[in-house]
Amino acid sequence: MKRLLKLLARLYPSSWHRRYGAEFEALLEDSTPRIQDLCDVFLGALKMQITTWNFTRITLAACLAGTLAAVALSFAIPSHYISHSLILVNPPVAPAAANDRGASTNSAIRSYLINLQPDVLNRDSLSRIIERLNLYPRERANMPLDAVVTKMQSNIYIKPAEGTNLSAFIVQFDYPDPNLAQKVNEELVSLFMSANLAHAQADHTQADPHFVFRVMDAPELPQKPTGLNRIEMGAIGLLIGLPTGLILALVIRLRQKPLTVSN
Amino acid sequence: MSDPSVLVLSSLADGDKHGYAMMDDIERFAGVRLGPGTLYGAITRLEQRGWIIPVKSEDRRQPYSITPSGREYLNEQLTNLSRIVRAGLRRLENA
Repeated sequence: MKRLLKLLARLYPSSWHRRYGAEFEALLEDSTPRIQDLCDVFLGALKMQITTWNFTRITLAACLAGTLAAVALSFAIPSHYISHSLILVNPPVAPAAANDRGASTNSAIRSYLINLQPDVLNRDSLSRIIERLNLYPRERANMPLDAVVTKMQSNIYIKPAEGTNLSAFIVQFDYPDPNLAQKVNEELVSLFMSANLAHAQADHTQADPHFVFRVMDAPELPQKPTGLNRIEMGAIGLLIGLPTGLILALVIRLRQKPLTVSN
Repeated sequence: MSDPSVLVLSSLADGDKHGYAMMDDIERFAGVRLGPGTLYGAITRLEQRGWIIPVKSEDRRQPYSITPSGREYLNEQLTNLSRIVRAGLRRLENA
């Protein structure tokens, strides 16, 4: 351990080593080393190195550290994939009730989907999908099923297809595995179709108009992960590292000025 | 209270000491064991600020002595600390 500490002591700047090296080694020889002393000497050497660096070197080091940390983080964050599907809504008019309120087609679809969602995204149907496809294995090992269902619900996005002439809505599912993202999306589309049929039959008895769903774009197998890639993460790390380095360099420069004792 | 600079100055307040003697003394009076890196970081800073000076020695174990400005700084720090301690204890008693 003492030999290791002496090796770590060589990480101190040479100017520091010339002045304090001999007495520091004497201290290492006299004291009973502890495992945490390795970290203490390493950090001490690092701090001393930084205090000898100039402004540019500190800034560059912070940029490099920020970039490396961001790239390392990008490896630690699991990739996730979103499977999309598009469901056409016929007739492309809003139900009478929605039109009466002057709502747009999209808002009519949105309100219709909101009515339909409890039949599709409920605990029973989602927990069946979770168990059948063995989704969220790590979460299921540590969380109650209700919490896993809530997590799954947060990974499902249902929204009207805006910016097109189509009366349609999009179903998306976000998951770390692209194949499972597609399979779950297929299940969700199937659930929406069934729920819509059941809803239509129920409405029919009340003589209310209803929508007819048609799958326009089947759930796709996502090819690329979503979110930031490693280059983008590295660029963000660089952008964070730059101001951090400037602040650090300024702080070190200020701290290096001798302090005055107030009278 | 674990500011290494104040601990080192407090250790030197009653006489000159080298690194290991300071480490041992601080552990006894403050219950804090300063690692070698932390101790020499504090010694380097304190010497740069003129609050301690090395004493002539033939030994590799370099003793240090506290300077008048170091005593002044230590006195100021301990007075502030003492005020905080008194206020804290008073409030605890009144609570």
